[in-house]
Amino acid sequence: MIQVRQLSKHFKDKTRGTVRAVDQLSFEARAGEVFGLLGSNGAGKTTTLRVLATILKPTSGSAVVAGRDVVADPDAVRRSIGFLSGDMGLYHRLTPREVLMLFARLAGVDDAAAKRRAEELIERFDMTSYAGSRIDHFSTGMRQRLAIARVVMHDPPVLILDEPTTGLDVPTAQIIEGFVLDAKRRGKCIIYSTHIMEEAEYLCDRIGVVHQGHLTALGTMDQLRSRTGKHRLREIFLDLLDLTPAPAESRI
Amino acid sequence: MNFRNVVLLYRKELTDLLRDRRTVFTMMILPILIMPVSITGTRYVFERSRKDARAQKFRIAVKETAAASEIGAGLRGAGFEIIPVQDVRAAAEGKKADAGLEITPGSGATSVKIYADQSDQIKYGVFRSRLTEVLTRVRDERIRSELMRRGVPFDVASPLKFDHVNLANPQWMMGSMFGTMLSFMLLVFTLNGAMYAAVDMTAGEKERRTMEILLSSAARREEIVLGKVFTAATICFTTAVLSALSLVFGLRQAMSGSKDAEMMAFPTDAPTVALLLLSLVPLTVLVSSVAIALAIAARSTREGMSYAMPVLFVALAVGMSPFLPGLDTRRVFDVLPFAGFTRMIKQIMLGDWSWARFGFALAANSAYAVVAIVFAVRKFHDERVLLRM
Repeated sequence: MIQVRQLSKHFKDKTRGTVRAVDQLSFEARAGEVFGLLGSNGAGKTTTLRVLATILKPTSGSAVVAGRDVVADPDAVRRSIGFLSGDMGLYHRLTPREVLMLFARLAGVDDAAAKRRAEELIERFDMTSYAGSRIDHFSTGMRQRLAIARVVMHDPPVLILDEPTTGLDVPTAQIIEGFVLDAKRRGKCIIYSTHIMEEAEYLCDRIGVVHQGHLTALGTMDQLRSRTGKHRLREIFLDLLDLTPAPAESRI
Repeated sequence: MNFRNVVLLYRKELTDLLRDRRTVFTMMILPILIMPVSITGTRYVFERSRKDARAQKFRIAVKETAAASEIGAGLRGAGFEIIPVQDVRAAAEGKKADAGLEITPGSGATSVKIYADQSDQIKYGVFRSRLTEVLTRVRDERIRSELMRRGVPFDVASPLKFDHVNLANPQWMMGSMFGTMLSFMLLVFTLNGAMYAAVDMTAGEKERRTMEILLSSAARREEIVLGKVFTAATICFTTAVLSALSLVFGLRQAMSGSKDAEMMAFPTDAPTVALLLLSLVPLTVLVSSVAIALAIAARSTREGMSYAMPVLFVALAVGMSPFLPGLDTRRVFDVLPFAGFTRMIKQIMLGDWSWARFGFALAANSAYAVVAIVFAVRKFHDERVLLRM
């Protein structure tokens, strides 16, 4: 469903010169799979996701999403994806119902189907009581439920979720995790970026670890365990980044 | 290009903007209120000052001499208070009197020098007119008595009588006086409205972190730009029309009861109003496209608004250039952006336009609007600009 080949994205910076945000990155994500993209801040995860969402153009390499190249056919790619940015941006002066209808209609969903789908998602994400209110005064949890609902309004085959549960309370995070697993069961291809290791361990079928723009590891949890000799994803992650704290006795 | 998406985005942007109370106040309420309030307020203050000045008993310092006695009697008769002093200038400077009159008899005529603080124009205007009336009466009386003494009729002193008759029709009068002012107002309010809306829809979108979801939506960049340009154009068109109505209403209020009121009637016939509105359309699209293309480069609304002033200066400099003395007949201005519009407005107001010139100026402004839209679309393809947060 997603094929990324030798993907690079470089930026010009006045003080730092050329910044290689993503460098020769390659991976694939399949239908019915949750592909975790992990990395510390500035590793290149968000840049990769932005390239997949056609917001940024790659410097070199290629990325194909749902059979369409992100450079050659960005319009078709955008119709095939639901992109949740880490910023949780929403139109504060609109209502959830208006936001959902807008994005469904932009994706070409007809009015009757869009209305049906909007009401379905409003109920599913427990937004009925505030679906007609302006978003200005919503809590983080309420906004994130709406943000997720917006992403799936047009029922795209690919979901690109950038830190969807950051800053959420446990019940809301659980709703979103449940939704991701359900989407996976329905055959969606999900790229899932997160800093919450327990969540990645629980949700992701395969995990790619990005460090300084490079993919340093890729595999299932079992494959990563056998490669690093560590059990928990947190330890695996730190080991892959070569940041494993020394044992207590050796520090003395 | 899917025009359904353009319409969807236009409706979304318009709804979003109109739900912002600051936008509604700045773009809709303020333009309606600003002219009537400022004109009525200024008129009230002016009338009040004039009334106070008229009611005031002016004190005039005069050095008592034989030559001064006749003028002094005339001034007293007209309600002035005479203060006898030795140095009239010092008395006026020291505010012992409102003015000082230095009366010097000559071999033929008596010269009168008036010392006064003229900084309060309203007060001095009233004083000057009352004083001139008295001095003219005294002078005429002297002429009359001298002519009578010699047995000559008084008419000899004014052998030539003349009168100015205005042949201009009311539209010419109104057009020449307010055509330039209306062009200026429309340009200012159009630019202001467009910049405000454009900044909210671009830099504001970056601040609210909604740019990414829009860019990753199924809408194409061209559709996004057109949705925003048409929204900004709608806002600035409305703002400009409201401000123009406000100007007309304010001036009508100010001139009500005056003898020139009839001469200053704004044209309200359907063809003129339609032409004025039609000429606004390409200008609003042009201004909105430029505003969107510039504002998208801003990181924040504050930075975006800082772009407004230079744009306003450039647009006003170009737009008002046809009205500079000696340049008003140059047809090259018809093809300049902004200038073609301002000339068109004035010509419509004067009733001195032709379909050929109107069409030419409209086409030129429309062409600039298309170029500006293309420029804005290019900006929306530039990720360095779009993601500059």
